[in-house]
Amino acid sequence: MPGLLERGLRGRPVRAALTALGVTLCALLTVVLFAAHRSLAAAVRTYPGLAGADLWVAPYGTDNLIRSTGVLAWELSEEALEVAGVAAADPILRAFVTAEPEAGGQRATLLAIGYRLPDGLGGPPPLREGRRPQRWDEVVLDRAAADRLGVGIGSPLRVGGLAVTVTGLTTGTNLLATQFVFGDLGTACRAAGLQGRVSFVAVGAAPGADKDALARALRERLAGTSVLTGGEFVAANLREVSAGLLPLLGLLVTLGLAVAAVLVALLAQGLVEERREDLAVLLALGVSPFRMGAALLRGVAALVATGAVTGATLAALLALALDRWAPAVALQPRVDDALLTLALLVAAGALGAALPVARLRGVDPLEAFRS
Amino acid sequence: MSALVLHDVVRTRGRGTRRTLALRGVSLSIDAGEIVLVEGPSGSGKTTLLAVAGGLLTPDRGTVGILGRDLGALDAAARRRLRARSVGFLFQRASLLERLSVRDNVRLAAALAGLPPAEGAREADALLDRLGLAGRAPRRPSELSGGEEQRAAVARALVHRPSLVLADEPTACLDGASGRAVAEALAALARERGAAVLVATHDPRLAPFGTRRLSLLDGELRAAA
Repeated sequence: MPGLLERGLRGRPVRAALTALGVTLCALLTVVLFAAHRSLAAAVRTYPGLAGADLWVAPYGTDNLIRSTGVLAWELSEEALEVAGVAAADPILRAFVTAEPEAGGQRATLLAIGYRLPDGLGGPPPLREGRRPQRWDEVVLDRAAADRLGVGIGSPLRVGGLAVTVTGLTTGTNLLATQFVFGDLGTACRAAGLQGRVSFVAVGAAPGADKDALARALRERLAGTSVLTGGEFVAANLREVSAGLLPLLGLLVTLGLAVAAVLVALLAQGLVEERREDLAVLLALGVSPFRMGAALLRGVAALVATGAVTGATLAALLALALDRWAPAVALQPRVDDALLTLALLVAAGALGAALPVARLRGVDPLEAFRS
Repeated sequence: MSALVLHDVVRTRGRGTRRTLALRGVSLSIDAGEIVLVEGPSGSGKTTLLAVAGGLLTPDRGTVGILGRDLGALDAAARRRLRARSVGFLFQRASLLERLSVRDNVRLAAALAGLPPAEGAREADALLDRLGLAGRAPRRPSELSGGEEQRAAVARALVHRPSLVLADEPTACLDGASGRAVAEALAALARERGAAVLVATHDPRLAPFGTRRLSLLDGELRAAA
């Protein structure tokens, strides 16, 4: 019976299809926004998480890669090595540099990470293809950056005016607005115009060393610095990215949900106004306003769910297409985000339908006699 | 036991200075198988009488009983349940749901009355077949002629074997042949199923099918002349 009642209360097919399309687009927008945030969050987690460092020494007040203005003396890494429990300490430079293909073409501003070749701490995460740099004039860069610049493995490139060759490509290092490039520390310093200065010192703890105790010891020894554990550094990077992006994402998602709610409200309101005679007949036949409202809400929920699932599917397809043809726009759609979107849209739809459903109480079954 | 009993029913309509008495001490009893025609001009209170009899309006005074159950003693939900199970409605227009097929429109009434789906489908098919609408059952109501639609509405009114059928000008919108066909179908099926029928009408074509004719004028019910 619920099936018959719901089908009987359906709105006009074209209007319902347009509403479902609108909800689909809202779902697509919402899932894409979530996916963009996931991608960005993954990018700021990938490098610090896979750089091999247990602790990060940064200029005082600096706790992340994204916004780092202070610098440290290169020799600080030697001083860190003197602290008991430190197995390795390597300087790292992080700086924005301009990159362009040797043959000319489009330029791109990249986030350069300079580290000690060939195996110092702070190097690139596992490569997608190619090999890590072995010489001062070799770099690996994010796949999306390579796509933006139109270069590949073996291509000559100018980074900060210095000629280098691309030897490998990374993934998970795309910050959307910019991408990572990894190379020799000295080359990075020259390209950034920062001789003898570095941004961080990546510290590797000796086996069995207490990292919290080691962090305290480093803070005492290296005055005027911040010492963060790997977990703290990753969390600070995530916080930095989210602080700037989440309010905007929240606003856009809210607007998308509001649009979906209005579309559903229009559909439900049209149904209550145009099908008043049918509604009166159903009331006369013994259907309660509550039951009719529930049927209407179930219909709305089904429509919204269809739109949301379609939107989430399109978002997944869009992510695949972008990865194939425009990797600079990195999206990481996830099932839990799609489910959250579905729940949010159903809630928005229910909210949108609430007022029209409440107006069902104003329908008089006697109207069935007067039609 | 009478299917419908109204005792000294008074009901007003309108508000303030426009308040008028629609029913003035109406008493009426209809037994199973009876077809009672209530005639009267527009505004005489016919629709109010049907609404009170069906529990859609509560009387200001007096009592209404369906199958011995006093509607005044029931809450709104119980009245709705009783209406869905024991009362069939036939309106001036067929008022079928356009989103459903003819067959599903009839099945919906059966389902609302609580019939199991298989039984509802069987009853719906049997009635539609009986009414010459078997071939039209999968169609949408808008694909039917006016007479066919109203015959489908007769099926909807009777599918759950109600004790009481309330019909409001059921032939007013139909031409001569269609109106007669609807009247014949309603009368024959109601008798077969032992339903009491209360018809509000001023269509003389219905006169031959009534077992009793009453006249409602200014809210007062009398035997028709």
